[in-house]
Order: sequence, then structure tokens, then C-alpha cells
Amino acid sequence: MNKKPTLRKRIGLELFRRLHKNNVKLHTLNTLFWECTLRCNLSCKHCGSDCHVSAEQPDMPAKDFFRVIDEITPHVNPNKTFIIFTGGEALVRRDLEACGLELYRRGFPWGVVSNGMALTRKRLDSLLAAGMHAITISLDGFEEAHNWMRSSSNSYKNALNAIKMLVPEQEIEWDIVTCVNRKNIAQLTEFRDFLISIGVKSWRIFTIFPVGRAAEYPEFQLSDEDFTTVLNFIRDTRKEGKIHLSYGCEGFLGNYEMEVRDHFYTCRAGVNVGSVLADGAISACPSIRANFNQGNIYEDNFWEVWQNRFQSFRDRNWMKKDECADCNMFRYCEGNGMHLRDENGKLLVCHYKRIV
Amino acid sequence: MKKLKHLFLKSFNAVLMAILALLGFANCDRMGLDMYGTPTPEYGVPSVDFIVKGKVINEIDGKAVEGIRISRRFIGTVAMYGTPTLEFNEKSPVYTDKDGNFLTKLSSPFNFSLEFQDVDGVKNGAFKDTTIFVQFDEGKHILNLDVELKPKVKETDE
Repeated sequence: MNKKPTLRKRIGLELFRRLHKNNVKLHTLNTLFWECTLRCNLSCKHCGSDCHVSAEQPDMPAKDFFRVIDEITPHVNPNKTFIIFTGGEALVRRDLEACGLELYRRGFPWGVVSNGMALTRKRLDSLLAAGMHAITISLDGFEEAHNWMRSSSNSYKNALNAIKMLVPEQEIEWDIVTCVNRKNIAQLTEFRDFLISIGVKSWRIFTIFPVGRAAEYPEFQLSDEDFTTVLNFIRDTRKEGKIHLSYGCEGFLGNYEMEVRDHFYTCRAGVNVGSVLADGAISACPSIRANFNQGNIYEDNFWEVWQNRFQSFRDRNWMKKDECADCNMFRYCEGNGMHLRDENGKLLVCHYKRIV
Repeated sequence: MKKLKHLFLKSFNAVLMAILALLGFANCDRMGLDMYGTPTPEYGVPSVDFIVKGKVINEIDGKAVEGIRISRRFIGTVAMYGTPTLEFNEKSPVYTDKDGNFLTKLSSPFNFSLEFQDVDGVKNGAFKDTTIFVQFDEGKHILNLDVELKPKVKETDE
């Protein structure tokens, strides 16, 4: 497949670009991450790529986060503002249900991103009773590949148990997320068939970039050929229609746009997505470098920050430098995802250029 | 002025989405966009509704009652951390269909009452107004609620 967008895709991309510009002007906050803890019950090999803060950071008291909720509530539609508990491992927080129930009572949908280690039947029931609306479980292939990545001999068994408990649940949205790497790429087809056989309906795939702890493991880095193989795999699986598979949100993918996701690429960080990090920092997606933090809830009003800052997220012309300077896809890509910029604003990886 | 600008931008996005759909880029649901063209987040569903659904019947003969207006009224405070007390009628009442079925969406699982009113006179029978305080089971987003209405007694019968 030629990686350059066809004429029809170009027209679609132009229309979507206009739509995105309107969304930037509106910058409706509809997704808010709360990095509710940096504690974790695993030590995953790729984790350091996203976390730069010591786990010695104490958990933020719930009342501090709910002060943020109070600040945004008059300005958003709670029913359409999704709150996501993330970590660390969110389930290590014992007051998660109390926090969730409080959000439920205020009309906010809420969800959890988890490795599944601590998701017992009892815990799932208590989360459901607290109004949990969505959950994402990480499963990085079959037992050997998953346990290698998570550095734990029990992690696959526990994650799989968690998934099997979710299969019959009708009232919540849930999906599986898989990090594809050299250890599991050869088994993707077999793994897909396995997920379908146990009743998984929704699956997301992402790849990792060489940052932090992940940079120490060459097993994580796919070749450009492998990366393209993954995109073809996603496209073909979507055509089969047996499971809803998508590539993660990052990366402009040229002619693979609309083939491997439900929508054209756009980075919503700071446009629709905000976050409150463990130390109170105000950011967009939690994986974005700390130098892009826009404030701190202990010093600033979150809503004031959301309304009046985030300029570097909403006007990305500053990214048109280095390898992006002369790229004719920049008008659609706008410099790739914010989390793919390092401490100096330099682009770490261009997905489009990796496609062969 | 700001509201007008927002309305314009949202309407503009609706037009853009319609053109994208015409070009074969699927409808907004399949594109993972909400009604204003904002892509949905990766980690689940961005919106929630608290749904009350059920059937309205005649208390005497158990027959379905069509045309009953159901209005939603919010009274009270729900927050631990400072949201003030509110009282308002939510817009857009719903009506029971020919089988007496209704479905209405609330913005909160607490402190709502539903008012069932016969607004079509004697057509479909005449019934007394009824107000029910809604009580969701904790953590649930759907409530099944069947309602029996008392017929109005004719003055000559009293």
C-alpha cells in the first residue's frame, strides 16, 4: 500500500483539518486524567518511557482532586466529561471506589486503566457498585511475552482472569490494550484469534518509542518493516470485523488513515484532554514531558489554566522545525503527538516516515 | 457573543462531518466523533446518561396509557465538596408511546423526580398527575420503572 494519501483521503484530511481547527478554538474539555498514584504492583520494562517522577511521591488526597472537579463543574457538562483514573496502578488506591462513587453522584462518567493484577471478583464488584463506566486492561500477548514485559510470573494469569470477568459485563465499556514488540509480533494473528475466542470485542494496539527504560531493551523496537506489518495486520483485522481493533491515538499514518482507526489522526492533548498529575501538575496526557506542564493545582485554578494557557498545545507551528520543517504532511500531522516531543521539543519518532 | 461563536463552530463542524460522511468516511459514530466532531478518547466512552425506562399503565385495568408527559425535576445538592443546591426542570419532556413505554435520560442518578401528567384530556383516558422520586441502585446507570396511574373520577360519580 502506497503510504501517500490518495486524492479522496486528501480531501477527507483537509475537511478533518478544518474540523480540528474549530475544535481547537472550542477546546472543550471532555477527558480528564487523574494520575491518582505513582505506586504500582508491577515493574514493567517499558514503564520508564512515560514516568519520570519517583514513586516516592505520595498519593494526592482525594479532596485535592475534587477541588479541581469543583472548579470545572460549572463550565462543563459532567455527563460528557470522562474522568480516567491512571497511575502507577490505579487499583492500588484503596479509596478508588469512594472517589468513583463521588464522581458517579455528580454525573461524571469514570473509568480505570489497569494492569489487571489486583482486579479480583470482589474488587470488580465494588468498582461496578461505585458506578465505573469503562476499564482498560493491558495484555501484551501470550504468557511468555506478557510476563517478560511485566517482569512478573503472575501478571499474565491475573490479567487474563480480569479479562474473563469482564466478558459477561453488559453495562460497562472495556477493552484490551497491547504493546506490540519484537517478542510478540510473530504471534499477533494467533493472539487475535485467542482474544476473539474468549469474548474480547474491543482491542487496541500501540508501539513504543525509545525513551526512558524502554530504550534499554532493543526487543521493544520494531523495524520499519515490522511497523508497517502491524498496520497491515490492523487494517486486515478491521476488514474481517470479528473484533474491533484500532491503532493507538499517536502518529499520523498517511494512507493508513481511516484504515486502522475510526477517525483521522489528531492529537487532542490540550485541546480536549487534560490531566492532573500525582504532584498536582496540570498537563494534557499524562505521558507528556514535564516541561510542557501548564500549572499546578496547588497554585492555580485548573479552569483558568485550561482556558488561558496550553498555547503550545493549541498552536503547533513551533513544531515545524527539524525533520518537520519541509514535510508536506505537516498540515495534517502538526508535528505528531505531544508526548513524542522530548524535553527540548524535539520529535522522537515520525510514524509516517516509518511506513515502508 | 462567545456563545454565538461556539454555536457557529459546532454547526460548522456538523456540516463538515456531513460532507465527510458523503465522501464515504462513515458517519460520526463510526468515525469515533461526538455530535460536534470531537474525537472520542481512547480509554472508554466519554459520556454517560442515567436512563429511566418503563411502562405506564392504567391502575384499574392494567392497559397501557399513551400520551402521558414525563417531566424531569432536579432538587437538591449531590456533592461532598461544595456544589451548591440546585433546583430546575430539565428541558424536553418525553411522552409515552402507544404501548405506554417511555425512556428518559437524567444528568444525575440522585435527586430527580419524574412528573407524570395527562396532558391530552380525555383522549387515551383521563388520569391524575403522579410524581415519583427516582432512586437508582448505587452505581447503576439504568433504572426500570413501571408506573400505574389512577384514573380521574368523574364529578358525577362522586
